[in-house]
Amino acid sequence: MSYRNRPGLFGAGFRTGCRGSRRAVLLLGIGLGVGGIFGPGRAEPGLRDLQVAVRALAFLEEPPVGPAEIGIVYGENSVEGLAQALRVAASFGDGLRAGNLTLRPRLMAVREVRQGGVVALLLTDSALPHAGRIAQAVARTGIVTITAGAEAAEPGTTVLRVRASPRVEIVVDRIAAEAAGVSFAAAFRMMIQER
Amino acid sequence: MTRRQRSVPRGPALLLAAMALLAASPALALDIDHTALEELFGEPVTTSATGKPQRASDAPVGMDIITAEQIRRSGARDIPAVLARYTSLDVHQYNASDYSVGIRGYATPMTPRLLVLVDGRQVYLDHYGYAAWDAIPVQLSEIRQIEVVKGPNSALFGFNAVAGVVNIITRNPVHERHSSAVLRLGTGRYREASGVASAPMGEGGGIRLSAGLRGERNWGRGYTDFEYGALDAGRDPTRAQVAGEVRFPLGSQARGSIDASYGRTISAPFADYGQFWREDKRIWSLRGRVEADTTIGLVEGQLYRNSFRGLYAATPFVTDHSVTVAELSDTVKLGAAHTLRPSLQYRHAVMDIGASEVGYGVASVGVMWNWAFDPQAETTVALRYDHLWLRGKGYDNPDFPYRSADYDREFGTLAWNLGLVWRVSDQDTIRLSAARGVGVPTLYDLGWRDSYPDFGYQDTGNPFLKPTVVDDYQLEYGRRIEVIDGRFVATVFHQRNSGFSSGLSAATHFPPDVAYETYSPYNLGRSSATGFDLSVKGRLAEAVNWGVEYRLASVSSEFRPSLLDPKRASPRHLVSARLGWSGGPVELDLFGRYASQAQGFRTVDEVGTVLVRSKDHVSVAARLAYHVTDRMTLALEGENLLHQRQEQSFALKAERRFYLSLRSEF
Repeated sequence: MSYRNRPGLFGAGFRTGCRGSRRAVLLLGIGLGVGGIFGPGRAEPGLRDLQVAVRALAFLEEPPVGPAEIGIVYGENSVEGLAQALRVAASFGDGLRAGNLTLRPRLMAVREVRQGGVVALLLTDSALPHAGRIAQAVARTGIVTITAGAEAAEPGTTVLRVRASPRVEIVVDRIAAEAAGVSFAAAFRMMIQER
Repeated sequence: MTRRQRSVPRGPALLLAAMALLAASPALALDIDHTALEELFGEPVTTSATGKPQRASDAPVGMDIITAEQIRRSGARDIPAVLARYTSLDVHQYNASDYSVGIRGYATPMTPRLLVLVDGRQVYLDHYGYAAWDAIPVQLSEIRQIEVVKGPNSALFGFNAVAGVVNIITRNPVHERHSSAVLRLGTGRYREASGVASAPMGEGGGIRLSAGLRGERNWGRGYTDFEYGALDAGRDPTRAQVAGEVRFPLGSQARGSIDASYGRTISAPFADYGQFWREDKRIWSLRGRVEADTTIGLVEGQLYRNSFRGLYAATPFVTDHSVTVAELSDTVKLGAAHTLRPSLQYRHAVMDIGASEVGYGVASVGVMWNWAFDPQAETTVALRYDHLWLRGKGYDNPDFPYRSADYDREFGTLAWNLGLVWRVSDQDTIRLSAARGVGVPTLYDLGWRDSYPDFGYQDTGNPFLKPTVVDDYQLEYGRRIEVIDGRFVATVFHQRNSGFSSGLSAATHFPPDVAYETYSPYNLGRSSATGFDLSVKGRLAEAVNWGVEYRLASVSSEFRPSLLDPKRASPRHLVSARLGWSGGPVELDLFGRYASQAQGFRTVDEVGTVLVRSKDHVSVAARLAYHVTDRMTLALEGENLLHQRQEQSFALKAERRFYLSLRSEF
């Protein structure tokens, strides 16, 4: 079951892919997200990090255009992870734009990433331990897996790692990109780090 | 006047064939979107340092990048004035429209040391070896950014990039929709109208058109009687320019473009030998470009031709000049850390002065290798070999020392750039670079010829003149300073030069060896320049921006005597400071500049020359703007505000002037 949250509750309307079996966790997470009991916690992606991530997608060889969704991925059964995912999703506001692309968030638990329907997956802290599973799930789909302003995932699992400050840093994992069927424009590749 | 066109050499033909093959391949192009990349990285991006696209902070050489916003807020009407307000470059203004721009010294009038390009097409004039700033067919409002490379970059751009490179980047019509018109009136009978229209067209295409008309009264004090009377040097400068570009897709990953320009400028430039002379110059260009993102990398090719015709006061002689350039490069990233950029270029330049004609062909091969050997450090090595074939005809007059056969010669040169960038921390960056640049003698120095029997002298070029070679070493430390939301940069440089041309400043041959006393260029000798640049800039609460640039250049030389003095042509000390504020619809920008004394020779009549020193001075410019609407801005601009007339160079006295401009964007 999916539903649309009320606009304004988190500053924006965004979709979730949460199942009813975890509704209690979700509601608790929403409460924590609104209340901010845990605060931002670890190096959580900020708005500038997210803007860098979205703008980087414009330099894919086949960039997405128009309205599209990005999955905000969190670990199952992680209340704190869901809270962080909610905060990140709220940062998207009405959607983050880069050129002709407008990205809106969609909450996804790790096991839901196979559903597809998104152009990218942003892994929050609680999803990082599952980066390998997620990479397998999106292999050859063209979906870009991203970590933003957070700890790095295991090498070879996440396509894009971005950081906005103090200096914009963009790292593309070549193994992960190849596995996901993702390639970036030549000029862009010359301006970022590849591992 | 007749102009003889040489048969098309094999080099360009082969390059064209290669370009055609690449264009026909399934490869696809990605035109660089400066706007999107700048938004992504939060800083300007450039290709002027190494040929590969890179962030300004990653460039292995010292650079200044002036943005469109800075140009707009400068209140300046000319590109050199913009440079003077945001950098510590040597900018000398000799009259209302004539400038010379140098980097770290040696900025003689019409300096041959700075290569100037528009979107990678040279607008530097090979015949006299200088940039005619008032004839560059670009309106300020169509410039996306001005990229300044400090130091030699011949390994990338070839001959004449010995002091540095100014690459003027215009708005990309594929990615930027921009239309604007500027009307400006001012004291000194100043009137200007210019317009730019740039818009995407279809999928992956775009068109850009620009035009400008301008006229004003020349500065009035400082002419010699001979200049004013015989050479029409006091003539009010006028210019008319038009330029256009069409970009179009070639398949899904390739793009082509054709651009053309025409301009006519009537003014009295200040020549290197210290004399104003009215010149009517017409310059036109035609270029085709192909860019393709292929399996072998980002392939770029361009073929262009620039043509020049100059007519002068007091003489019926016409100077015709053309340069044709074909070049091909492939920028490819190999693995995760290596970028290679092999390149080929063929250049053919010719100057026709009626009775004689001189020209050269230059074939070049180069390669750039960038290695990001650590996430925080990368090194760049660039090598380029140029081979020049010189030819001349019509030089067999026995009254002169050189014959046509003397022009049948060739030579090769090697230029190189080495650079290291080390991001020590998130705040600190160190750059280390070494480079060799080569400046080829100008066609004028090689092959000019005229005779003035009534005055008992004659001029001739020297086909044996050697190139100017510059070895340059730089160490730069930059630090991001959060408390001022800005950056501090200190650069130490040392430069060793050999060559230099005396121009036609001194007699070298005498009767009975020749018919009359003969002036011919010779190499002046060696010189070195040592100094440092300091730069600090910042912002305060988004409303205030400020910056201070300082340059010290200490020059020593072992020059042969002549009436050209590169050593003291530039001031030892230069300071440029700026302060800008914006609040609501109002913008206020102030610019100050200090220059210590400089000197040069002034030709006072047909043969007489005197040494003239300019005092140290401070000049101030300002702009006060009001945004009438989101798309319309009214601005009051002023320059040389401290004095009605001020001695800023050893030429004319600079005049205080005010302008009222109306800029509309739609």
